[in-house]
Amino acid sequence: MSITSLKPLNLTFPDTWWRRNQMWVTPLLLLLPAAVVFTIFVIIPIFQSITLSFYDWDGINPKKWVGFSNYTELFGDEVFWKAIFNNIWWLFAFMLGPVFGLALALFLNQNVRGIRLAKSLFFFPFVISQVVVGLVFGWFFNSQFGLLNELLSHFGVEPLALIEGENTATFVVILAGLWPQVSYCMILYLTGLTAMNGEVIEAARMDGAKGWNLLWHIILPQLRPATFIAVVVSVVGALRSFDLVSIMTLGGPYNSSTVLAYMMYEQTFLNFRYGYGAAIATVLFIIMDVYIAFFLYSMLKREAR
Amino acid sequence: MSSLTTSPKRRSDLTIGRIGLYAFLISAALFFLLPLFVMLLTSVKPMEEIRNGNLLAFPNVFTLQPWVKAWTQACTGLKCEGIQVGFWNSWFILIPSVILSIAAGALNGYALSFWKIRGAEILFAILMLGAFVPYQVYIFPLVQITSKLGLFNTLPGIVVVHTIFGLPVMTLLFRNFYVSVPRDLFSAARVDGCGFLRIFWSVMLPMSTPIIVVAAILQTTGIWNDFILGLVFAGRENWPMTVQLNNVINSTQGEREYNVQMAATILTALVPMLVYFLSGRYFVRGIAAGAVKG
Repeated sequence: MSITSLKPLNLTFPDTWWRRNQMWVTPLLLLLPAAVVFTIFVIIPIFQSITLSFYDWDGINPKKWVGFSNYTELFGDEVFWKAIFNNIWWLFAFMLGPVFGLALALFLNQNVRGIRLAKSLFFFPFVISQVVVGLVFGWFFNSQFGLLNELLSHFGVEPLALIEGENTATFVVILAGLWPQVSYCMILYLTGLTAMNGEVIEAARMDGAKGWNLLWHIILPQLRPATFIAVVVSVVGALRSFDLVSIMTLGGPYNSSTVLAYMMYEQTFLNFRYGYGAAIATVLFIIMDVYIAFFLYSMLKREAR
Repeated sequence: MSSLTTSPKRRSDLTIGRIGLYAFLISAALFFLLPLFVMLLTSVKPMEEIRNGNLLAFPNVFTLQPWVKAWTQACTGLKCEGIQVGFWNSWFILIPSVILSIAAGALNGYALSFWKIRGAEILFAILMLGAFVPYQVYIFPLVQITSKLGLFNTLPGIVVVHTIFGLPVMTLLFRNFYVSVPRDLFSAARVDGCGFLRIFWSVMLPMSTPIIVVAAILQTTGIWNDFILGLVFAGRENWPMTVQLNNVINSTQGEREYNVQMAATILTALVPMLVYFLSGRYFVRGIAAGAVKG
């Protein structure tokens, strides 16, 4: 990249205010529209959601101030607790994402023939849409036409109705969610492994480190940034889960597989209970805030070191 | 770039460990490929064969009819014009959204990287907020705002929404890229009398190709695969392919035509898969760089 190719600009410009100050004014002018737009479309709506949660509104009749009654109703709502518990299940299950992702990444980080093809196969679930992932898993577990029951029937096992079962539906959806999540974490770890300092590992090997020792004391500490990001995206993914629930079960049967994000969507856009939906949104936001605070705290602490 | 688990000594090609490794890789690959394989098989079978069961059997009669039907006749709700409607809608949404979000992200990232202000952490934190908070938290007020602006249920509306939601990650991506550019380059252009924007245009942009490719991959796959934003903001006429696909699957008039559904599903997955196979290692870089997107 050479700068000499640039035409020298006319340096006889008069010394105007603009010439003296454009170096800080231009970035300001550039950032301003983005900041304004972001405020209008993201920041203000968050607060509007919180305000709306204190109203009763169906979109037609005038809004009615109801204080905390949306919240008292919510906390007495069985579906809400079901959603919370399911979100917690999602969270726990998604913590397997980084674990399996790391295992796969270590396995795939080798120089053997055909490894690139193998890697690309493992990326595949992350590349495709969650809609597609949901449909594929839906078909796999479908009780009448599913691949699972087809395979089981060869072993004489009776057909299972897992995705239609009240106690099992949510776990099927979580499994579908975990599929791309493992790929995602694996990609993050593979990038981390590629960027790792090979000399340190060789030195450790010379000193006789191998197996679990090598992994635990040498490799994992170097992969800490990757682990951090993998955990972050897994938590966010678990709290955001919506697409798969919406595609695979619509929260059913009998709300048994609903999550907060889906319940909010259902109450707002299908039942037109805007205040109630906003209360769910607010709960989701508070949970997320706790998490973001933790994230920023640990990140700033890391940078301070 | 050294491999972790193989020692630097050259080994003979076939050891027990290596055979085990291949066995694992092949079985894992099979596990990953089996659903895709079954989908592909089912999509070229006539319905009679599917009704008889045995998903894993090869088709007795090979037919492309389900693919044609999925593309041109499958019902997405009331209309039966096939998944192609969604395919074109997705492109109409995708192209302006990708261009706008990258342009905005590049300019803002550049401005942020050269503009040392106090409280940059706060700005960063707010950006993170935008990247992390689930859409559901503010999606309804956003519906109200876009409908007040006349953008709700329109093509420009969904483009604006994608551009704004792409802004945090795009800005971050470009900021991190420009921060690593030697400061001297900037100063030298400055001495030559270049203004702030001129430096961006003549110095920074020409060297930004790699990061633009990464950003384009990230945005293309992200926007193509989006479901909820398209569902809520685009409006019936502009529903993207993912939403249309879900409608094809859920519009149960008469018998469920699994072969058509599978064909439609594969068609929907095709664009991101093409992007992925064509972009090679850029793709992985993009995912790692845009990881905060979640």
